Amino acid sequence: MSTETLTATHTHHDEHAHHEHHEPSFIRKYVFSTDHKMISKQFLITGIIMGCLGMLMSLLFRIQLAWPDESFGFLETLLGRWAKDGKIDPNYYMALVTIHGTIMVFYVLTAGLSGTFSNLLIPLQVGARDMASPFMNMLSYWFFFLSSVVLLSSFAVETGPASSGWTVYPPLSALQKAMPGSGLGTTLWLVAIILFIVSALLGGINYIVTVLNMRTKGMSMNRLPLTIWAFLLTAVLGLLSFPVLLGAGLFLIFDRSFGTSFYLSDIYLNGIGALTNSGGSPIMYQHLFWFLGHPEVYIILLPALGITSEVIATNARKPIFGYSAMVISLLSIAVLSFIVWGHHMFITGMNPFLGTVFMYVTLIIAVPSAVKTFNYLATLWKGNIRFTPAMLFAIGLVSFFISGGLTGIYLGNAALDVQLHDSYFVVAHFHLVMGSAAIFGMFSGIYHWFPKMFGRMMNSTLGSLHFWLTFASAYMVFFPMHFMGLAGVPRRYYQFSLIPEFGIWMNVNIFITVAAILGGAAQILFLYNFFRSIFKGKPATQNPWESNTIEWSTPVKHLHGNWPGAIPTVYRGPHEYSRPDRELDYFPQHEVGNGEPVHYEGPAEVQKTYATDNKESASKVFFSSFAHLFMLRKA
Amino acid sequence: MSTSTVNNTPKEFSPKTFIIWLFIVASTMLFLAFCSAYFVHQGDGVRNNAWLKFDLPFEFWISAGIVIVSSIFMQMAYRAALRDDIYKVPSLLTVTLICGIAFCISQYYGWLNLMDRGLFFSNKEPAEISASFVYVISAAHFAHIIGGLVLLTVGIIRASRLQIHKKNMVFINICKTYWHFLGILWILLLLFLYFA
Ligand code: HEM
Ligand SMILES: [Cu+2]
Repeated sequence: MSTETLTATHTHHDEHAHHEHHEPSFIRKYVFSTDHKMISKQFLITGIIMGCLGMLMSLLFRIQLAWPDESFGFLETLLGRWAKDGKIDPNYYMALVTIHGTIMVFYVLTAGLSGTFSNLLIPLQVGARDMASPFMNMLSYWFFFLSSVVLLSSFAVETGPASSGWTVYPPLSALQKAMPGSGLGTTLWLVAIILFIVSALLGGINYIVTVLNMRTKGMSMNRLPLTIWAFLLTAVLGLLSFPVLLGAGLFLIFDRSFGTSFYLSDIYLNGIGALTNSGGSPIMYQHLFWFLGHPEVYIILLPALGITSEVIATNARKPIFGYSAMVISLLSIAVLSFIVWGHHMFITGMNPFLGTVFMYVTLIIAVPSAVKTFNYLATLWKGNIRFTPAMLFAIGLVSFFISGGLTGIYLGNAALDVQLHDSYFVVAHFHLVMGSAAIFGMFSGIYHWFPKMFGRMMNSTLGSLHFWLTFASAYMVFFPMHFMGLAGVPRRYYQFSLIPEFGIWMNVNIFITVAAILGGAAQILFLYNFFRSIFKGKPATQNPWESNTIEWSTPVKHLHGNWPGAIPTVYRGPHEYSRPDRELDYFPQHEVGNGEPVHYEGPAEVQKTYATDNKESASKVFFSSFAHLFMLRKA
Repeated sequence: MSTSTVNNTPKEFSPKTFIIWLFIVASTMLFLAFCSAYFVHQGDGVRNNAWLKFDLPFEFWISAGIVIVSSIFMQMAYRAALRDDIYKVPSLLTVTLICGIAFCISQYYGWLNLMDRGLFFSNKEPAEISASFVYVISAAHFAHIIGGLVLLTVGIIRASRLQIHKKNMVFINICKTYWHFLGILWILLLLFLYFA
């Protein structure tokens, strides 16, 4: 047995050594790379760029909300005909809100977060040379890239980008003439989202296969770092829900361009008259959309929770409190997220009984969420805490998860939601739990794994400053929105100064906008720190955080295939920090206890072509094969 | 290399096969979305007296027959490869491919049949929305078949290069899994449309 093991290992190595002889060309290395580490950086940097754009859009519409009656010359300079006389055009305001939401939800917090960290960490933390299909992985990035370009290109369209909200509800989205953004802008939005779905599926399938099939020896499921559990479940959620969004989008495309009426019925369009479409139902779109939409919010949150779990355990120098409870709560959140979508539709006239069912299942989600929160707090309790920037952001996530999660419970009550739906209360809820908590998880991951990605350290003073400014401004921006929502201020309105009842909120709106600008400015610190550190940061040591997980056993300089020698074998779970029987306060998963055998590299390679002496051409084989089929020739 | 005894039995369930299974899960979700939309819509439609019941084109049933035949050939090709009867694999895969093309033609005539009866993709009457659903569901399946035909073509090329045999079953396993999925899917969709 042992000799065979060695042979297998060796042949694999030879192959690798062979690979390393010729450096891949620039294009293969940086552009069409199939290396998961490079693809991860591509996702991250694209995500950061999209994030900046999304943030700038939000600042533009926040300016409109704070000073609806004033005009600003710089807006006209910046937006041209969309801000004549220095005031943002109402339709353009809607477009900004829509594209901001789309970018943040899909491009930053789905692709930017999952794409970056699943790609980086799955092979490195489960102990694989690369993804199951590196080629599909590369396609996944390029579909994402193309999708981003198509989405942004809608800003160059004469009628402007899609404007019916990130949920693109029909009929606004289904009728090309409903509003300016419903024309070409929405078409481009739909194309972009279809490309995005393809990207998400290609990536997600790869993540699942890699986690389930390609773990190194000893990496049993109950030794997986919680990041990997989270990425796995995220990918499963995506696999099951994105196809449904595809279906919803296809129906929408048919209604827009092929004259069908899946979502349309009895519509009168100002200036055009009554439409002939009939028989359709716009509510059906909402069902299909939210069947994706709710799992989607967990697609966003779970990776952030996974990252936080590892960062908190590492920096509290303690095992995560209740590993199995953490896994089980992730699992139950994942399962429950498929049966609660109706809580976004309480006021669509659904049967009250159905509404009640959705209400109860929604409220049950609070249980696993609370388990996670308490476990985080229990892990921090009496920990030997190292306040690295990553740790600060992880703790920030816990804070936002609590404050945002609690309002979810209000919204989940069908009776309360009648009042709160489509108000700023909802905006406050999801910006805390997603716009802040998940973003903080992403920042935490960036600060923590930056040394692994780029081989250098980020500046931690700037990191802490970035944390405190962002933390404070996020609360200042989103907390007051709860009160506005309770008072009935609706979301997606362009000019509150036209409604005297909302006059008392003007000052609050100004406060929020100023805080948002402050928060936006704080991100400059991050951008500076990030891009400077890529080139000029302090060189990283191999395991800068003294972490247990095996990605830190790879050399600082990236290798194709990750480990120069054999892939390490794993001997224990990821959280053995501060073990009383050890001098060091950590115990890496791969550290050999007492001379366990060298890891074996998987089965020998399959034999490619059938071993036959006569070299026949493919066409000859093809034609003679029919003779064989009809027994004219014997094999 | 091939003498290594690390594992003698061909390892069929490679990560690549797993990928096709996950793809199947994703497509299944797409069709579930279509079917549940159909269901919900039908409920509304029937309540408002706006849901046309009509006979499915008989070509669709012929397609189902073709699909079964094609699956049998697919299975024979797979068995041949497993037996290392390598010289039969290309032709059997070709027969499968031809059945697949016949399926496409039959579906096309099915759509013509619907149009002859005045049932178009975009409905003229509210009640005819049921026909729109039939188009969407059958066309989405058709698109999947096209993918299957591409896969089979690659399979034929590989088989003709003698790259499909007992020790290299991964690709044909993928073809087989996907092709049987498409067949079963069509039969289930047809039964759904018939009974729903
Ligand atoms: C304790 C768990 C949670 C509960 C009970 C909950 C409940 C709800 C409810 C009932 C709504 C609908 C409000 C309405 O439109 O009237 C809602 C909206 C929303 N929630 Fe949550 N939520 C929870 C956690 C989360 C998490 C973790 C995220 C994201 C990471 C999230 C993201 C969102 C988003 C994006 C919306 C608004 C969608 C829109 O209308 O644009 N929620 N939530
Ligand atoms: Cu939800």
